[in-house]
Amino acid sequence: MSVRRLPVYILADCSGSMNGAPIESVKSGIRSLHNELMGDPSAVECAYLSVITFDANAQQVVPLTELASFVPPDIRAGGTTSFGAALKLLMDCVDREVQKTTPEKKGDWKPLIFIFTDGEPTDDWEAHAATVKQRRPGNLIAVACGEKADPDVLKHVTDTVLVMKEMTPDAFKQFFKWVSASIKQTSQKIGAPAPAPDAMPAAPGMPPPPPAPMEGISLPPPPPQIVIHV
Amino acid sequence: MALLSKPKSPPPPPPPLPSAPQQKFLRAKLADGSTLEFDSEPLASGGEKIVFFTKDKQHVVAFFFGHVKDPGERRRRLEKIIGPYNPTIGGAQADYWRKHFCWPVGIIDNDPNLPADFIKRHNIFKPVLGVVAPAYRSNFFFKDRTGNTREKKGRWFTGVKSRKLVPEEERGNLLTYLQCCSVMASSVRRLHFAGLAHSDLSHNNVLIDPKHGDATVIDCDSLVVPGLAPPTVMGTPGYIAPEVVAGKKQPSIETDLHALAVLIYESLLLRHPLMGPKVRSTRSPEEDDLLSMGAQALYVEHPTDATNHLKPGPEIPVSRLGPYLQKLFIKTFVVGLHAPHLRASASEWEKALQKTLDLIHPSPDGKNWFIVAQGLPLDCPFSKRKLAAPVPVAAFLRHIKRPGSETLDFKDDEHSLTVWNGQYLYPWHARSNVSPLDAKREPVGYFTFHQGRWYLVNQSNADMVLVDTRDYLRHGHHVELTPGLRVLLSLEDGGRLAVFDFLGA
Repeated sequence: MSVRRLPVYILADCSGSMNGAPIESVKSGIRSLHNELMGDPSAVECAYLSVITFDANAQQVVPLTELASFVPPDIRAGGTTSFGAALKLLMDCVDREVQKTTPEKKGDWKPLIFIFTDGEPTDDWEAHAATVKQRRPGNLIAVACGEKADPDVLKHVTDTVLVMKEMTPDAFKQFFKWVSASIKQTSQKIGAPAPAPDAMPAAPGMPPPPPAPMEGISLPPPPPQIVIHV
Repeated sequence: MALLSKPKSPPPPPPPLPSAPQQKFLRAKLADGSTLEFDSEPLASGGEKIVFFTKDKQHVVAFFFGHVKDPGERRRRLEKIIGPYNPTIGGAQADYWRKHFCWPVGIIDNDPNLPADFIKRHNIFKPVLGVVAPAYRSNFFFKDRTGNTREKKGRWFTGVKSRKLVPEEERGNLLTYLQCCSVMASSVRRLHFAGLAHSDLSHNNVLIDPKHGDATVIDCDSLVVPGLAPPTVMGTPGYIAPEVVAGKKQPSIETDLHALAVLIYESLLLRHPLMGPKVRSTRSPEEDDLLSMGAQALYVEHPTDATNHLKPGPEIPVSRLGPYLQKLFIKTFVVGLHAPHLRASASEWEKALQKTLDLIHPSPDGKNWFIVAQGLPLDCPFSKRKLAAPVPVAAFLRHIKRPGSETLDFKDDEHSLTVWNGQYLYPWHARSNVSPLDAKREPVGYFTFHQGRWYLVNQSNADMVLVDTRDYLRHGHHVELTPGLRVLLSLEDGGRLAVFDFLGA
């Protein structure tokens, strides 16, 4: 019996505007993310990575793969921003790759999903965004990069939206560092009970108060280049 | 629930870099008035602390960043840990404990001279509280080709996937894992003896060096100190006692005993004692885990309830670790799983591990070791090779004095020794009142296989007695081992009678 898997999906915008330094930063970011995670035994044991890119089309360039076998993809920038297609593909991949718990078999942890985009969607995305938001395929963090990305579009997908104003190599580096810290923390601490609440005395003649509820995951605070969009 | 906490505002732009990257050091004042310099770039960051190397790299400085309701509590806890509860200062065994604990040595309590931008940049909690601890010993780091170092967290060695990434020469064998566990058990025993509970024992907080059978307990700053409120850290998933997972109890000595047993089971068998196939809830993995590790936790090798047994069964069942450890696993994971006060104590583990080391036998492959005892097969489960029978074993009986009785009376000491060629007999074998933990490692005899026969050679300066023939076995003399042979190993107080038998004969 092995430990539960922690699926991690990275959705990267590879439209034309990402050409040059940004796409190179994304590539080296994914490489160092992988390196960093390979240095953490808990992540090695449970984290699985997948990369989905979107430009004129959406494509799963790396299927959900265990860390030790993951090969960072070679990705290129060009074309439009098929954000809707990417969201649809994400849902397909999650349905296909993430194992559900059944009465007979223990399934995977809820996936961690990171989406980043630097522009306005160029396809029909609203319906897909609504599906994602309603079905909540996992803990989803969306990042709007640069001047042109609209964080309010991302708000249709998830409540957790970040803004990375500058698309500098350093900002990307910090972003991927934070992604790796988030995955490490989740792979180590997932399943931890929340600290017990302040002792609540039982009412006279009543049983004691219920135990502390299970905590969801919490991630480390993002780097200073990235701010939370509210 | 918010997924993210709000970060602090961005730091000022960094100063222009000179041609070569330059390390910048900051100075901090400790509560005892001394000062130290540390690297301004962090070494690592954990759940509640961010860690920096001191300039001489002999120590690390860790600053707390999480919010706590009562910061004074944390400081008072540290003061107690460094002061009255400190096993690494004073006492005959202080040197030993300094090796096996990474014990805090100093506090930085709200030093007003720490730069504000530094505090802001790293989200350090105000009033600033820092703790200084020794750097880990060098054998607790992996070194790769590029000179990068990585801590030898126990998890590296026990995970199915992570273990494959560990260089083969670092992986150790059952003998060295028993030694690692023995160090862990004695360290936990020492904490509990002082009334302290670690509260977060896990394979992330114990570093092990299976190559040398060494271990050290780290993160000793969140110990549960008597008289102070327990820390808010609940522990690491997989090691948290069921009653804490279920929200009924706080971390304590009893919950440490669950974590210690999990650590020992994982180290020796490379699997988790409670993570079996039984599904408790299909609603969410979180809920299933909460029940599987909490209210409905069930040992994967439960003797009568098979619902959480591994399928197919494990290649190396717990019984292959011998009777002493198997008994304590039952005590902790069956009897005491939901009855914390019935769990095996750290001192029981320490003794059982020592006794199990007496049952270990070299594998025919010359690399591995495995347990050979009454009722166990003679095949090595690691190399799959079988020992040539017969294998001599000695059962120890303890001499008891009955008032008024002239005869020698003996009682079973529940301790055996598996004999192999070239094995030594030590004082703690010869006498029941000598502990392997504080006796000198000076042999009093040895066993040898010579021209097809087994012999015991007396090398002590005292006589042994061949009870059946009423002869002395004097220094330098030997006796051939035969089934039923009885040797009184020492005439001193606590002297034991060894009764020999042969396995696989």
